[in-house]
Amino acid sequence: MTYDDDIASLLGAYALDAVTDEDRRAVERAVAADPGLTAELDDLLRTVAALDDDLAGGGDEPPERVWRSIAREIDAGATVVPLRPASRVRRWFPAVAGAAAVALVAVLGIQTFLQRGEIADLRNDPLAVAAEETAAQPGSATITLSGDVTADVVLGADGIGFVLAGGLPGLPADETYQLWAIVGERIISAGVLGADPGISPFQVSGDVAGFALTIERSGGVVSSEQQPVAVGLLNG
Amino acid sequence: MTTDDVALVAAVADGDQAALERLYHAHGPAVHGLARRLLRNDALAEEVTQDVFLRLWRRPERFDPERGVLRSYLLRDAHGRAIDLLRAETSRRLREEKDAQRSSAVEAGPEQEVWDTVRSERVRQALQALPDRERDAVVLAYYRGLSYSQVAEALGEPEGTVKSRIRSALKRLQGPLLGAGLVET
Repeated sequence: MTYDDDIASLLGAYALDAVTDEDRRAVERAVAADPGLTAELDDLLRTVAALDDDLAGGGDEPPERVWRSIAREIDAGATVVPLRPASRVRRWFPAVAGAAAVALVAVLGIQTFLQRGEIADLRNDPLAVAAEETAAQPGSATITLSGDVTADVVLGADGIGFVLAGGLPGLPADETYQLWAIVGERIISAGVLGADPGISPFQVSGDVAGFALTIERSGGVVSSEQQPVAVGLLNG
Repeated sequence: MTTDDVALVAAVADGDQAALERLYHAHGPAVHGLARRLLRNDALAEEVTQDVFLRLWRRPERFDPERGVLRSYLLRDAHGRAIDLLRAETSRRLREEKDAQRSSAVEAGPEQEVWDTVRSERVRQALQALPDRERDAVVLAYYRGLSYSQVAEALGEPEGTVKSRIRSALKRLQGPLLGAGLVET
């Protein structure tokens, strides 16, 4: 079976959300590059949309508190506003600020990643090539996130970035790494990386001060209750 | 209205919170309804509903009107988030039970509670018309939130076979659902 056949065979499971994060990324990369796969996936998704419509039925009006919570979170600039009881929430932004003071922050060349051996073969991975190109752009920055684990982030001047997380230890299937951008006083999710991440693209806007990594339940969270496992600042 | 939705998403991209509120009132009940039926848990369904609309607020560019209507996009997002929670809850429960044997003891085949969530008779008929193994694979993946590898384990079949069955089943469903006017054309 060829790589394309393998990806095509995953399309049905992908359409039903029945794939791993790693499979999901592989499918999305392949679909983005292959109009044939895109067409088949769109076809499958139309069928799944009929199942979704049926499951949604006439709908159930959510309680008023749901919109109030959404509005509060937006008004607060995407800071933590949990629906869960406050006693369960441990806000970690102050911890980030503390950790940031000692975080190792460096502006590195992409060769550093190669030297670390965190990426098996950059030339065969289009995301690695894109990360390398971004790192070479004027105004880009490369930040090392350190703490319990180490990962690197390449951030372009246009806000498009890549997290190079191939060196992170694998997690149980029901957990995931999640990348957070520190933008002013806000902590914004920059991507759910999966349990065994590699290189993932993301996009952020605003004046990014740094990044943090947390371990969350599979699928990620809107706001984290966890302490970061790694932190890095741009102006450290 | 699709055109309105596209314009409202564009307004959301410009930071218009009132536009998001209109979209929430238009599609929130469907998102919440799907999550409630899948999760059978009001608190988690509310969490999914909040997540879906905050994700739309933060990443409105992810909605591509060329690839479908907003309602479908939001329901897909809701299904994905609900499945994540379903899997996490299942894992947590199984861990708490400390019963390693049960982690693979997912019952194969549709159960009554799954069929109770199928609202349209046309959808029920289309699912029931599938070959048994294809139907089981789709039901376990879509309504029970199992990954294809978990489906394979539950059905005692190779993963490759399950992937093929799911893909084939979705293609087979399209005709009847299209005929019933349930698939966008």
